[in-house]
Amino acid sequence: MGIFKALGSGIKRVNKNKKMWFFLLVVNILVALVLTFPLYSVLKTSIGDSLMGERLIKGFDYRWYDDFQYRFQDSDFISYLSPTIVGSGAFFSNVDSLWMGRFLHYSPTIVILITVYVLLNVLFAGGILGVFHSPEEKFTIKRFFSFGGTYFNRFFRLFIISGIFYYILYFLVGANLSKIVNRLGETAFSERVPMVVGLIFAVVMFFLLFLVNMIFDYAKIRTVVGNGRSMLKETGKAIGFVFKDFGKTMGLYYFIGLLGIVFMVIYGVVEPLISQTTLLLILLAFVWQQIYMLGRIWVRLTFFSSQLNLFMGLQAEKKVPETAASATPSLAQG
Amino acid sequence: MFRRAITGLIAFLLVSVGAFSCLLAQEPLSKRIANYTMDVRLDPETKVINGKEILTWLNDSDVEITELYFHLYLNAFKNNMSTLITEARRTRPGRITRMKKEDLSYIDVESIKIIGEEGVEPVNITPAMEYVQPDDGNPYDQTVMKVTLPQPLPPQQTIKLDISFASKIPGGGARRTGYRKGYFYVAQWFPKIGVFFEGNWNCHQYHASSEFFADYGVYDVNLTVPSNYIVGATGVSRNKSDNEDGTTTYNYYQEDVHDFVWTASPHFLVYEDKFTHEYLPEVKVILLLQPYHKMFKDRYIEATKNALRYYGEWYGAYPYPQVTCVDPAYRSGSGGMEYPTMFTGGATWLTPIEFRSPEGVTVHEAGHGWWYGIIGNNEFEDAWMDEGFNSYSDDRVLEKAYGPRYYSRRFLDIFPIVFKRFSYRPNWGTIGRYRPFAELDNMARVAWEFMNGTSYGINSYNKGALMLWTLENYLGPELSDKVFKTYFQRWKFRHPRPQDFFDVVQEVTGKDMSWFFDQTVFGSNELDYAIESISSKPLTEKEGWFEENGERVYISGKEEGKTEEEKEVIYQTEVIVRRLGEVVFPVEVLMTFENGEKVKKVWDGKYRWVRYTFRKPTRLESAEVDPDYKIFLDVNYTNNSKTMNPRKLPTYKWASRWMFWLQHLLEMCTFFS
Repeated sequence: MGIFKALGSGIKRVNKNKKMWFFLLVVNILVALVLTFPLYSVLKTSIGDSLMGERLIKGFDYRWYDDFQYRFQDSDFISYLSPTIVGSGAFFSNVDSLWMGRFLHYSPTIVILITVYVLLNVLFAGGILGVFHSPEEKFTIKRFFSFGGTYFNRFFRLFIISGIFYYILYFLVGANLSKIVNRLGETAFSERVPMVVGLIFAVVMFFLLFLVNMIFDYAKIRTVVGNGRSMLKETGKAIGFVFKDFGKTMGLYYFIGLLGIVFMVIYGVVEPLISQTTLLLILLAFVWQQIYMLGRIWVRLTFFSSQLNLFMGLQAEKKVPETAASATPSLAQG
Repeated sequence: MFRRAITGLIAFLLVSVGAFSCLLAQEPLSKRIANYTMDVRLDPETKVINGKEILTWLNDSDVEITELYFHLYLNAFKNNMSTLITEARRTRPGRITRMKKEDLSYIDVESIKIIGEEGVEPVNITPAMEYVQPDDGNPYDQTVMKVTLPQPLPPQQTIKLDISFASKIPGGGARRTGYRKGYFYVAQWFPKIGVFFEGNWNCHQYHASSEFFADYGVYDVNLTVPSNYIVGATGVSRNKSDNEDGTTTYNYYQEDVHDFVWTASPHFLVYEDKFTHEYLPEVKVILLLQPYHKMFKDRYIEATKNALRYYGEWYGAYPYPQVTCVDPAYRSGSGGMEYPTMFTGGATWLTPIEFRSPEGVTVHEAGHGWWYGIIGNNEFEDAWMDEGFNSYSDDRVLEKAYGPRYYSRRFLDIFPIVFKRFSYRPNWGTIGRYRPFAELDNMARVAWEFMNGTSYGINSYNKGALMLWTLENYLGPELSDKVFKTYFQRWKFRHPRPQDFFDVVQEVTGKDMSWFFDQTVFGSNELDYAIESISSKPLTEKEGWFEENGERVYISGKEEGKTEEEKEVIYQTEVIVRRLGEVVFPVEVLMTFENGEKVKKVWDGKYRWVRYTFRKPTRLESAEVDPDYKIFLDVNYTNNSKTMNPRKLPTYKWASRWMFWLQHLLEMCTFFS
């Protein structure tokens, strides 16, 4: 099966399940609201009935921000409010966090929230793949959670195993790559050398992160398709699968990832055009934000759906030659 | 014909020498107390400079001098027990970490002799040398040397000393001086005589948080370096000669400066340009650029010219024929530093102009040519007088020449991202670092006695600048410009103390501003005015018995013949302004009413609060303290205003923006699920 065929039918399947997108978006919003409400409250206290509010509607005021930072510098997640996380800034900030493992250094509240969300999505991954692999391929809340529950134990074990891989990547590979860059800096003639090498290492880190991510996607797919029970075995077989058809698995993965970047660019171009100086425009900006988040969720679902297609397609292709081979002796006998 | 040609040539030579002599014979700009003639040689392998200096020093006081004090700055990096390293461990943890043996440095004074009249044997006073520690008594610190004279030096007499020395340059990006991959930046490298000031030797040890102080004079320096090295230095290069041993000797000369610094590297790209102006004198601008920073050439030169232009227009003309801007080598530790007629910038690959780098550092360091170079304040004791003045001035230049600053970041630590929709004035950036340290120290502290390096920086740079911005806004730009210009012109090539500046302010403005300086320079309190409360309610109507026209009448509270709607409503408005900080400063308070009327009051700010009441047929809309944002020292601008109609929009807007970031972060982390 070619990657575009897998992608095409994968997208069709995802598009059939719009309710799933919205469900996942609602969960994302609800979890984010857990901290957004307290932040709202803090902002309200900070701005109060000051005329700074008017300035913050029109744009931004450094003097308010300075006071805000001073008052809440030790206040956990509040200090992450900054002009540099606005719009596409969020993308850059979070991708930096992913690359460097910085999210581990966020405030305890955010780390806890991320952990809860990740665990929820371990559950949801089972629901997603279960729905996609079912004959009806149709999302209902009941079926979604039923599948989620069915696979949670196994997917949680995969999560732990993948955690070991990510730990090695961040704390051994990444840490040593950083040390190499620092040492290069000590002896380099100019800053270009460590910067370029740092960029190469960033590319290597991303490649490795994506590779591990893909392996465990296929480990989950294998578990669902083959009703696997041993997660170490499924991990091993997933590694084998990925490398056996490396071009197709990587090609599909990166192509879908590219779609995600396209969505980000579109979002980043439009978002600054919405001035957010009136309630209507703020609502419009919020809606645009959520449309982008829907797009992100769509991309995640497309990963699962397309990779599932690719896996099943390639497995089917493997079985056809076996069938032909087993037919040959009878022909020979004939 | 041949004789005519010779005559013409001789005439030309005479005119040239005459012109040159005229230049030399120009009235000295300074008192030229410490004059150095040096002959030094750099060994790039051992990183040692061997040399000799002939120091001609004038006892400009009215007392006899029995001993001389010298700075030996490089001894600060001789071992880990020096005062600088000891303080760095305490006040600047993380900087100047343990130095490797090859990175250590020293200045060895090999001999010191008094040169007498011609034919008389110099007097060797080397045995009279001793290290002293006037600041902290640290016996391991050898950054100050004292030499006792065999005979006192009478007032207004000069002494000529022949000093042989060897200086080892520190490595590892130690502190302002160093070397890296063939690049040498050589500062504070020779035995430098202290300043006999106000009746005493003012010669401090080298501290983790301190800079320098020296007398003006003439520097005539021969530098011998390998021939493939390109050299830059204080002053003008008069000649160079190639030697037989593969070295070249450069002569640099500059009058009326108080320090000499130089740099050498085989890698420099050299660019020259000219600063010209309708009335300021022409200045040659030399840029020594690292080859991997070619893309910054125009930006460095433009920034240097902007400094020459605006500082020249605002304060006074740059008095030297040239200025050299050095792009420091990567990780050399020599960036962002000022010296007379030469300074270092600092640039990083992939830095757009919106990052204001190298523009910011270039303007700042070039600007030190005025505040520190020409106004020779004591950086040990009055650091704010150059850093604060210069931070204030460079903010002005940056705003004028480049406009607002933008929020920015680097993606993957490499790619610059500029958030152009979020801008702020250059001087607002100064506020951000000040507030957490506002009450920790006062500006007048000697440099090494601040609580830590950050407090030193905040009080010298940030608070100094904020204080001067507040002063400018209080006086008004025209009067303020006059103050600074007068101060600069009066105190150039001298050593002013804070009171000298305060006296100029009083003289030019005709006002006693001691109340301001006492609080802001010598105090460590915060300035914070706030609108405490506002209210605007319909006036309570009279009801009851009142005396009118000598008679007691009953007023029912209802106007006869008028409906509720027809009655004119009078509002009782009350605004309370509070002084939350301990600094007292007169403030303007602006009340804006719903009918568009604006009322501005001026409060002396002395008591803890003031109440303004109004009776008007219109409600109050808002009240604001310091509506024109003149008081940069106010630590909290959010509490300066209140509106009767606060809107929830800004909270919705910024909460939803933050929520998007969090949603995106959460979704990104599903990567691990």
